[in-house]
Amino acid sequence: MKTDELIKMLATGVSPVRSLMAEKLIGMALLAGSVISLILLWMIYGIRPDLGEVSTSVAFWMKLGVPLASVGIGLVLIFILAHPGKRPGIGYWALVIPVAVLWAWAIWTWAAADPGIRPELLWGKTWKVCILNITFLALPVGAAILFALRRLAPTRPVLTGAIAGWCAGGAGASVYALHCPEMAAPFLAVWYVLGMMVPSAIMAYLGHRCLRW
Amino acid sequence: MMEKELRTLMLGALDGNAESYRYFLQQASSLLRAYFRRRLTAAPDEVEDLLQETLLAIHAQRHTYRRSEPLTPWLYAVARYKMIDCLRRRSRYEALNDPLDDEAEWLAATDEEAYESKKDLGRMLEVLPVHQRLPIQYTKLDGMSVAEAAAMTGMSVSAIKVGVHRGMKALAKIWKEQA
Repeated sequence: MKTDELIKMLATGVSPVRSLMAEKLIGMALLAGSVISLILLWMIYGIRPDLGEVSTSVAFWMKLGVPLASVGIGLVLIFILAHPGKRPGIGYWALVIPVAVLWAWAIWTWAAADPGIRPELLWGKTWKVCILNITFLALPVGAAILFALRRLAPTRPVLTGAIAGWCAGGAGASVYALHCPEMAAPFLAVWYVLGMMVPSAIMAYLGHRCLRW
Repeated sequence: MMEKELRTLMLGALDGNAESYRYFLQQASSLLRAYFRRRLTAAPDEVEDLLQETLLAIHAQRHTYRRSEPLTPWLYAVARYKMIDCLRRRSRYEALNDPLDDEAEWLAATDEEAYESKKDLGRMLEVLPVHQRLPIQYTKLDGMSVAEAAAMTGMSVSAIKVGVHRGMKALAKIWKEQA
């Protein structure tokens, strides 16, 4: 086929294009996914009964703040990655900041703690289910963001998928924090971070599979 | 200068101006043809295939260009993405096939002025489901208006629009699968 014929075909009867706001699309996906996650949490796990009391503690807000900050930073990067030819105004290293803060807090707690209670700080009572639960609660968010990204044009599908998965993991962890009774920083530094890495790895693979165009 | 001119054309195209869009695609084609030629020196007869695939991608993804931003970085990012995709497919193909056999054929087949790919649009359209194929056939190839195509097919106006939109996206995908 001649290139000129193709051009003529593409241009014939071309319809006006609404600028599709990637921010709106991905934002709505995040919102919808998070609402589903919250409903799942409420139905399956239940919200921790002492939420009112712990909500005044610094530890609780750290536990909620670190994943939420990861979601925020990840979102900024996804908005950029979804558009061809845009360079990020912030570096990818920004993703590390919330985790670094959490780790600094964890190491400080660890060092200050009596050696006898250290295993308790690390393993808590729920380490076995933590990664799985966070991944499960990340699923609706991850799926929703993936659908949104399929309508956009990421030129780096694997990286975009990985960061989208990190976002979904952050959302899942934030939701799970409303149920999870663990409050020790070393626990969060290991299990929450791993729980966010699993969705990130899954979504990197899905990015490779589903985000090509 | 190129940026300014191209961007003006593209903004017209995004508002639905077909003439502006056609001119934009022609200008972009010359730029991208040169860009691909410089980079695909080993396979000059694939340049036009790649260019057409890129034009389809530009069309299918034109909503991801933001009107407030410079156009050429977007254009070249789409082109680079398509080129890398093409090279990846080629290297996979060559890993399974002896590339030496094709060498002489490439050289012989290179015609500087043809600007024609080996793709067959008719065959690709046949793959599309009828509710996408007919809207594309009538509005994009036969030049009917959406209303005329709707009357012709008995489909609603919005079904025609959706059919064209989805069908063009599907075409961009089928494009790279057809040998």
